[in-house]
Amino acid sequence: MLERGLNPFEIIKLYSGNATFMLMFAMSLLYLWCFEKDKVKKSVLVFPSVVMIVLFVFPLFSHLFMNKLDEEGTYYRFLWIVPTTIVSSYALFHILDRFKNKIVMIAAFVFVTVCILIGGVFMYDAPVFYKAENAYQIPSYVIDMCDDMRINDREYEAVFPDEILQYPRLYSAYIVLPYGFEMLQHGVGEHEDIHNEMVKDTIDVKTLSALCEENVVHYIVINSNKKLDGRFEDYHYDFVGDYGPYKMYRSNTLYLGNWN
Amino acid sequence: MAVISVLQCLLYLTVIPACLGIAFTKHFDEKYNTLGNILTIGFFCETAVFEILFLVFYKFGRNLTELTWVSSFVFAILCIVSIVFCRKTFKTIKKPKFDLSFFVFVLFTLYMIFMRNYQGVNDGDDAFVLGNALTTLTTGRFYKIDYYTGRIISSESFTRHFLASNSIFIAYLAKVTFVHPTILAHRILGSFVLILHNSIIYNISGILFTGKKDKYRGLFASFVSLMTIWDFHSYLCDSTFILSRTWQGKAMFCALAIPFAIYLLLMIGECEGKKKTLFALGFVLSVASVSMTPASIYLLTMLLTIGSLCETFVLKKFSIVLKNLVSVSPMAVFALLQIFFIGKGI
Repeated sequence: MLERGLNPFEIIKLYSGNATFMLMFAMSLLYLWCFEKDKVKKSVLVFPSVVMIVLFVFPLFSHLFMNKLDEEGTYYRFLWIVPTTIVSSYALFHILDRFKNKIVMIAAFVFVTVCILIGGVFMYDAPVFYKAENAYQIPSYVIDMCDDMRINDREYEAVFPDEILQYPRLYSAYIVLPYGFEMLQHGVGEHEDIHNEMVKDTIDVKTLSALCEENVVHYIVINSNKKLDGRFEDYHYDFVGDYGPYKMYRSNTLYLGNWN
Repeated sequence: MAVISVLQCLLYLTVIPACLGIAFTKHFDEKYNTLGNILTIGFFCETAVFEILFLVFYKFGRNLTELTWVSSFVFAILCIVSIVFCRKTFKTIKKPKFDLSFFVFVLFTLYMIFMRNYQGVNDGDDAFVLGNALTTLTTGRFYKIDYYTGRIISSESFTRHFLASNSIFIAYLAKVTFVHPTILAHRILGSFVLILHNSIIYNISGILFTGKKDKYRGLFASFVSLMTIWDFHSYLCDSTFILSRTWQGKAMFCALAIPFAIYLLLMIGECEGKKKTLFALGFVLSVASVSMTPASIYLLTMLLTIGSLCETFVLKKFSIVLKNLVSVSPMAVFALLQIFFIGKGI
């Protein structure tokens, strides 16, 4: 989701990053507009791209989608339907084909490739990626936690820190959370009181334990870096173990056996 | 069990798409009867049929087990009919041009697949896509349990994505292949989508570079892959979606539906006669893309409509834009469903 209040030009700027590929795309469009003789290719690759970009920045159009249809946060998706990489690559080989000398042609190709490598940003270095530790591609300590929580054929409640909130229910649907990922996404959800306690720098153990016990939360997972204002052991939660950078506690008052 | 899972994955992600796809490519010019085309079109058919079945089952409050049996039965019937009438088309599958640049392109594809399996992605939307898939698989019910928390759904807003059956399709695949939905999506479906994406790009190169220029096909496809891999200019880019969250509906829309729509427009422009099948394919593409993301209702409609309008004016063939209305007609139905039933279930 994009932050609200951006105009189409600001969205294009955000979408383009350092603008290398957008510049290349703009030059490719211009080149193909002038030199592409094939009507079909021109009518599919060039004209629609221009129309879509013009529409994207056209105030009435952007107003309609961003304000009237409430697509402000996702308006950038219109740029997906502009085939930037296909147009740029096609223009490149269209140009290369004009060179009669093979050495000049190869040199030009190498030059453009080097420009891509320098001007582009390598995808797999992006911060969203991490080395997969298992087939699930979920951090192993989350899987270990979930395995240690498991009770056959019944559901159980657990509270997790925000940074790993999305993972437990990708592994097991038997884990029930007092609040879920919608709390981070939309800032709303049930049990906001528990979330408010969980995100504090110094956790008030007495309050959090009481809230969790009241809401039948069997397990509490806490980031080890958080300061604790008390001991969970003093409030009916036993220490289970360390899991990577997290500590897990289990209720000693709530029922954890099988239902049958 | 592992052998059965592998065989089931092959059945649902190659055999069924191949059988469904061949029914379309049979009517194409022979040059478009490629393995990539057959699998891609087949996969669109598979997801489109599943989308319609899911909406019907959701409307009547049925469960995943019933949907699984009926879907598999429908796919089996469609495949048998397709094999009976189109089996000869398998013999005329056109091979790619095996030159050095093609092998470079294959290496790029393998690299993308390797990275898809080697690296995990920290993406919050998985909490919906895979959370919903796993919840549906475990409970067997559609949108009765909040996929974020596991509690009974308390708000109608949880059904706002009901048109996109992508996560239910993952649950269905997980049920028939006995693979955990998270592993299935992250590894198997992710790799499969990347193969299809690259095959569409290669097929586009087949239309763009013909005759003496066909030596550029592999190079073009490799260059598109290179640009995609080096295109992390922002987290909004289509390339970022394609390579990071490949199994999610939005990414599948970027990876498959958009390039295929461009390919379809190119085919419509190039093809003399025999266009009816192409517009029928546009119809299937429309339904399939809604199953990926409801945003395709306006995105794909715009792409196909603007593209066909430009072709109409440039090629002076008014029929193109008229017939395109058939292709995008499902979008009107989906738009109405989205407007009148959003958040209310159907």
